[in-house]
Amino acid sequence: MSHLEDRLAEFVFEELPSEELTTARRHVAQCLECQGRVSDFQKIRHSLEQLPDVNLPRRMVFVPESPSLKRSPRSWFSFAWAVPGAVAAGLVVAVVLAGPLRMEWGDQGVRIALGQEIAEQQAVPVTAAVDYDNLDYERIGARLESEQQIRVDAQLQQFNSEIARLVEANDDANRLEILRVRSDMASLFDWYRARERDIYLQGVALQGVVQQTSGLE
Amino acid sequence: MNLERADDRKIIERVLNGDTNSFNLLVWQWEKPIYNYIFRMIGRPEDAMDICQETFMKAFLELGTLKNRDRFSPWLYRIAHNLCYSRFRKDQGKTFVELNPNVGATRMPVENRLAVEKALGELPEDQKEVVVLKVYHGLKFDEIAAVQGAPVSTVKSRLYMAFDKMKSVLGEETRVSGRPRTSSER
Repeated sequence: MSHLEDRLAEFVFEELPSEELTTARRHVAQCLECQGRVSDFQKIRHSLEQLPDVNLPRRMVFVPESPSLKRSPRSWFSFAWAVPGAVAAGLVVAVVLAGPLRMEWGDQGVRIALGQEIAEQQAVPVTAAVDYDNLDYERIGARLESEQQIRVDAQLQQFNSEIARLVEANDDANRLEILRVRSDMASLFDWYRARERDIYLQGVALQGVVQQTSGLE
Repeated sequence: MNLERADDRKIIERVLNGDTNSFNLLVWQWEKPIYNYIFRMIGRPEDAMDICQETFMKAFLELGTLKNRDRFSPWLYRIAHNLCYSRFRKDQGKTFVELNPNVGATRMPVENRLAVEKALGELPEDQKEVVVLKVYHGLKFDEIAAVQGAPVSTVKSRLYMAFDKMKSVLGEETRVSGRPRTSSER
């Protein structure tokens, strides 16, 4: 058999048909020139294989277009916008209903009042006693969740109509942009839900510690 | 490496039958290899991430045009290849500084890693691509030919040229170990 020549790569990467591979192996075992070439090739391959894979900077979540999106609209809700939006909306409503907003700076910090003069602040006795035993984190969690839901609904509706408007102007560039935005929103939402869960679990764990140590003082 | 995983075809059929959420299964299966391919071609993590996202978006939008559903991954690599080359054209003449890529664990000494990265980075794009697809992604020569739109013989010569070039660069880098090379040694 002649030297490996242009079958060197297939030999090293074992892509030769099995019969040819056997013959080639037999040849390489006897041919110093081919041994040298195979060895050089293997060394480079080995060096390259030592380079590790890199990790993605962030995972991708693909949120397809309706109807599945419509079935689970919260999947692209962005908490980052919900809170400032809700606060701003709340302030506007409060100002409309109660009158002008006043702020005063005093020794004890900033005081804010709506529609009336700020009354002299009464000193309130500070208490350090907290009834840890009766804290019900599950109830608190449920209440927070329902309050948050109310806050985000308006924002969510706005997102929905914005996306619907973009979908209507349906060209390829827009579709790509919409998919990208949705993917980002879904990642953000997943992240937020994970944090929410972590905080809740930490609260439950703390409650457990408090209960276990309550008889020790 | 067997490029085709048994489930790809089934997942594609589910997606095309309207279960578009299933596309995430393909994303999770292929995002890391595709990202690594793009990262090794482009060399910048954030740009690689953008191109990776674009690759999957394009794949989703054009999934219906994939004739042979058993060849999903070569088709995906082909999309990523086209986007990388269009980025190369766009970036022609620009220079970039690479910021700490998020590298996984390796037992390779850092100077060797840098030498190999440098040698790989100095290859022309078409040769580098053959090396990356062959060594890191285990594509067969005919699959690389399909990704590059070139004959198999061209793909093999690109690999020989790349390995020859790497051999000389790495030989030079490692010839004088233990102290920096002087200008006369370079």
